[in-house]
Amino acid sequence: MTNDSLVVKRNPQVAWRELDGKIMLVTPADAMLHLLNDTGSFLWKQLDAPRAANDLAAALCAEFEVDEDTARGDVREFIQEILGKNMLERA
Amino acid sequence: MGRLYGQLQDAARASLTPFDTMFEVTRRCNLRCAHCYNPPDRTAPEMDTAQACAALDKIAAAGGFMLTFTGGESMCRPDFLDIAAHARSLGFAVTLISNGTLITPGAARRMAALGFADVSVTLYGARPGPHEAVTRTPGSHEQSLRGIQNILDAGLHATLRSVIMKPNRGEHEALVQFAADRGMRQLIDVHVSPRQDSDPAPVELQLPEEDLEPLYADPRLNLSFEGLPRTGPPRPDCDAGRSVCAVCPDGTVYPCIQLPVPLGNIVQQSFDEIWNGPAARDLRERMAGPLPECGACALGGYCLRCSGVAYLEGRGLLGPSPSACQGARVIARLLGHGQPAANPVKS
Repeated sequence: MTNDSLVVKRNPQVAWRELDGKIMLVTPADAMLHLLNDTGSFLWKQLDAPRAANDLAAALCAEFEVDEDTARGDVREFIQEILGKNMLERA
Repeated sequence: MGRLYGQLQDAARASLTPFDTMFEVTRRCNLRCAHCYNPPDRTAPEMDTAQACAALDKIAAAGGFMLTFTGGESMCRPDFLDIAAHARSLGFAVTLISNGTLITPGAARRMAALGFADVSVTLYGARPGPHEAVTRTPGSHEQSLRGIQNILDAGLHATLRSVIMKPNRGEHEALVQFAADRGMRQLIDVHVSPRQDSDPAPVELQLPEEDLEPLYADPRLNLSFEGLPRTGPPRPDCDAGRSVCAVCPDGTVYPCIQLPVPLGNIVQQSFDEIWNGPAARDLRERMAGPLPECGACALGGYCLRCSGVAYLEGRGLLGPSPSACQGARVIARLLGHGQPAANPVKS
């Protein structure tokens, strides 16, 4: 379970690039190509420095006009999923 | 990478983003493979370290993402890993195609630390005999095996590449087992193209058509013809010069490693000048039209024609490709569609 105060950062081994507004990534452990959705791409772009889940949720609220609970839920889901794929690291 | 890779290629192609780049840092090589597509003269001028890094800066700024180092043997350049490190700092997904012979434990560890997405080693046989019948370099089998072990020990994602030809005929069974035993991804090819100077000598090494059929039929080799037969005639356009490009050791930019039509030079020009210059625009225009000699071919639905290979085979960008005709005949037979009568190229 992801804690809202958890601070995460991008895994520097992951290759990534933006294409048509969406983030594509390659994870070196399995050479797999991934594509983030609009929300995931927005959150990834916020991670140019280590960020707490709370801060990411606040940024999501401001960008997409979603309520705080929804934003927190989306961020938890995002972090949990891509931490599991080693795209993110705990800072 | 499969379907998502295709989707991203399509998106990049629509926006003319050089999504996938083959980057040759050198034509030098310590092996002498009989079928190599590079001309035997390996003294081609090379970008220096700063020029190679500046070329990568330009491709990254244009949206380049997938970057494959090939050659020549990249590891013949003492500064190769410094160039690769620069590519990783730019966010490229870096892969290497190598003969493995020069990959020491230290080099492999550095590749892993840099986050290489894959390292491919080309092996032509599980035994020295068939392998060295292709590489024409005694001792190269043992050296390549050592390189593979170093790659695996470093925890890198590893691919075993092989081409099955006359000198290593029958070796595919052992190579499939070799890759499976080591948890390596496997890519096997059976087609050989002429050299980049259109010298057809390598094609003599290709297996005859009757020997290709059981290899195509073997699902372990994954010589995929998914989606065939297609409806409609084959078309010349592909990702070359749209979402794919290639950079030669001297900075010459090609639309694809298989299509040596110079579009410009990345040392002397900006990427935009090359990618949107007259040679690139002309190429795209020519490849947007129909194939004049292939339109009525009954094998069209089974054809995996590559315009670059057709060009190297001396048939021009829009001509029929003998190797594709051969492949189409094999695929049509395997899919139980017999051998259609019309066939533009007799081989």
